[in-house]
Amino acid sequence: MFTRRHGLRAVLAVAAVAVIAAACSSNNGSTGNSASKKTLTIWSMPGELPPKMRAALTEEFQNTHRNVKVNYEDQEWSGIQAKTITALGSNTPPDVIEFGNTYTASFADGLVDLSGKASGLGKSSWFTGMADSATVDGKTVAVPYLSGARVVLYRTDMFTQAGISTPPTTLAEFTADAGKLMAKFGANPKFSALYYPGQYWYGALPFIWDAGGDIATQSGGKWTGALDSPQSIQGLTTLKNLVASFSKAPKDKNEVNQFQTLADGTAAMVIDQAFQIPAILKANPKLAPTDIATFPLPGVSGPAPVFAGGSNVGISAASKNQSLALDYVKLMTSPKYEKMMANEAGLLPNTTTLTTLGDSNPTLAVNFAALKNSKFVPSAANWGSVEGKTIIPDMLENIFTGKRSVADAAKKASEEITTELNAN
Amino acid sequence: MGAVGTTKLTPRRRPRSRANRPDRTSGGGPPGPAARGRRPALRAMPYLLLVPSLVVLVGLMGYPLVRLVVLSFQHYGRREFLIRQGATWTGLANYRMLFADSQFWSVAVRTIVLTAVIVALTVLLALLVALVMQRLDRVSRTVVSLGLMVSWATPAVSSATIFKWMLDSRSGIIPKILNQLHLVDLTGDNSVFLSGFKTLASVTAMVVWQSVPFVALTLFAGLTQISRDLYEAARVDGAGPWRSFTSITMPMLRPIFALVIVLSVIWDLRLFTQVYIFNQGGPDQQSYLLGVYSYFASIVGLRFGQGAAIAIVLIVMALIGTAYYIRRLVRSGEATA
Repeated sequence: MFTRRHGLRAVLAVAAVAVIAAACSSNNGSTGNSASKKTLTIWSMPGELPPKMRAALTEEFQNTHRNVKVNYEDQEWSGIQAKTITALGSNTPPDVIEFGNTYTASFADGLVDLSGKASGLGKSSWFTGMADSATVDGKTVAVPYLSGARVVLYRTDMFTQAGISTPPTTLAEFTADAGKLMAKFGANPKFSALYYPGQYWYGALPFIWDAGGDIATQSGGKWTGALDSPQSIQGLTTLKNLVASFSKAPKDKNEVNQFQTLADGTAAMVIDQAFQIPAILKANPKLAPTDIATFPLPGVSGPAPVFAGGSNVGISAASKNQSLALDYVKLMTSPKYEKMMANEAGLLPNTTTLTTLGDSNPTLAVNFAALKNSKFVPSAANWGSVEGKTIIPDMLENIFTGKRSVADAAKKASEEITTELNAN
Repeated sequence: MGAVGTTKLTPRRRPRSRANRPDRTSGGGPPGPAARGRRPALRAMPYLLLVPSLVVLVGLMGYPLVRLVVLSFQHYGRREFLIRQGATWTGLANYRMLFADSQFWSVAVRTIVLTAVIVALTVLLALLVALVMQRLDRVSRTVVSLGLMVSWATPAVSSATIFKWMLDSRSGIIPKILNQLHLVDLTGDNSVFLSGFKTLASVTAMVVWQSVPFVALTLFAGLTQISRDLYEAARVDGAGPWRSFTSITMPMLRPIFALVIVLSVIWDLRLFTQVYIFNQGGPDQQSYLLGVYSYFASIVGLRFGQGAAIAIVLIVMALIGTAYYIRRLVRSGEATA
């Protein structure tokens, strides 16, 4: 008897929750076509519309659009692809979305084609890698918003102690310096000259690209995985050797908390984004700001091409406020707010006209230099599932643990990528 | 608790005549306390009380199920979703593709084997726990029940996350202890998360740990229903403890076994949360089970039709796997009624 009554109560509770949830969503759903006051809904990723910039931007936008309420909904990275697709396919999508730029091709069918308006949005001065990330099948479907090139963050004090006076500029120098660091600090069994976690696939791309390899190539509308090309295999082998000699990082982890190792001195170098520097200094208050600096990841001769990860801004094709949304996007990605974002969040703006920001900020300068030599992942609509299925991290795990040879692991991953990118 | 006899509570007779029923309780809503004490109204009560849950069930389970079946016969992916049209009827194409995919077969076999292992371990351990509880005094029994309840009540997401921490190759407590005891090395490259087998073994432990309480408490409830007299009589006839167990306990518990096995098979076949949280189906897709496989096809790969076909296969498997027991369960219900 007892279970039954509880069952009913549970059912009623569920029904009540469902009703309340429905009521709430219909409240949010009306994106304000009612009467005078309109609402513009903006989705953004964590930390990418920093508070001060957001406030100033909203104020300026509302000065020229008096009857518009700007409603920000902050998203989370986990599950964002499916969530965004679901939203873009609904009748009440967010009007503007700011999203990880590797998803651009995946979302393109649900975004407004901005090709005709691109010149008014400053396309001519966008960084090339970033412009590429916003272009799908020759159409501009989004506006590049920010980028965070990966560079080498290092401990200057440890470099000095190991007798290294200038940062390396070639792979050979890089390897030699890593050897010196190991010789100096290797007594600590936990010490890594270069801390490289096994699932860190963004960090692997420069090695592949520098050797002349690629993730996948497209011809005649068909994608072919290229991680098993001789060049890619060479790049992966270089990385494998570096990791084997200089990294004590676990092979079943990603890069999220690696900055911590610079803070506690168990590593002298990590490949990461420069905006992590304040976090490192905060994690170890004994460090002086000059103890952490950056240099571009070296290739065989000169800096290696880096991954131009970042984010783009698009307008929902199903949005009922498209012209308002365009006004907003135009303002948000204008040099004025790009500059504010760069200063506040430590990420790179979309326009080459702001490279002077680097004059007063050496970290930004290194980042700008890296961005000039940047590449992008395949702009295939199915790229998201290559990421989602962790095909490249799985390959790296297999390589670093020696479970598979480089050639074998690369071949397997390459075949999976071919299947995934061409899947319909 | 009388779990065996619950089927009795279902009214078997139809309300005798419609004319007898007053319109007092009309209006559709659940009847208020005022309806109490009136006999015809009382007779209609069960049905009226069922209405809200039926509506919810049809809405929350019936509709998605129908939608799922339809979807499994359609080509419906990212593009069809975004442009909001163009879902095309493709007949059995999704199923044909699935059955032609070697990964599907290995995942299906893995799912079946793992389910069998988990269910067997769960029922066995739970039986032991129930037998122990039977012999405990009141206080210790309460303590054990509380312990069981706690692990049962822990949400799967939390327990999977905690297990993940405890097994971490660097900082986890379990690899540390096992290392100290020189039993197994789970640190560094021997990490649980770098091995498909170890990942599945951990998932098994995790799921068994969480499933034992319900089964143990149910079996214990069943044990308390067995009359002492039977054991007494058996002892008089010279039966030892083992004989009593096999000839009295096991046969008497059979309907409950059927119940817990059916439920466990259904729960464990569609295992998702623990596997996904623990290692995202990794390493290298080696811990993909059908539920995870379906998730990756539909939510990650954005091929909703394909994902739906996998889900349907899973449902059919669950039906086949439990049909025999469900039939027996229904039969035993009829017998006691």
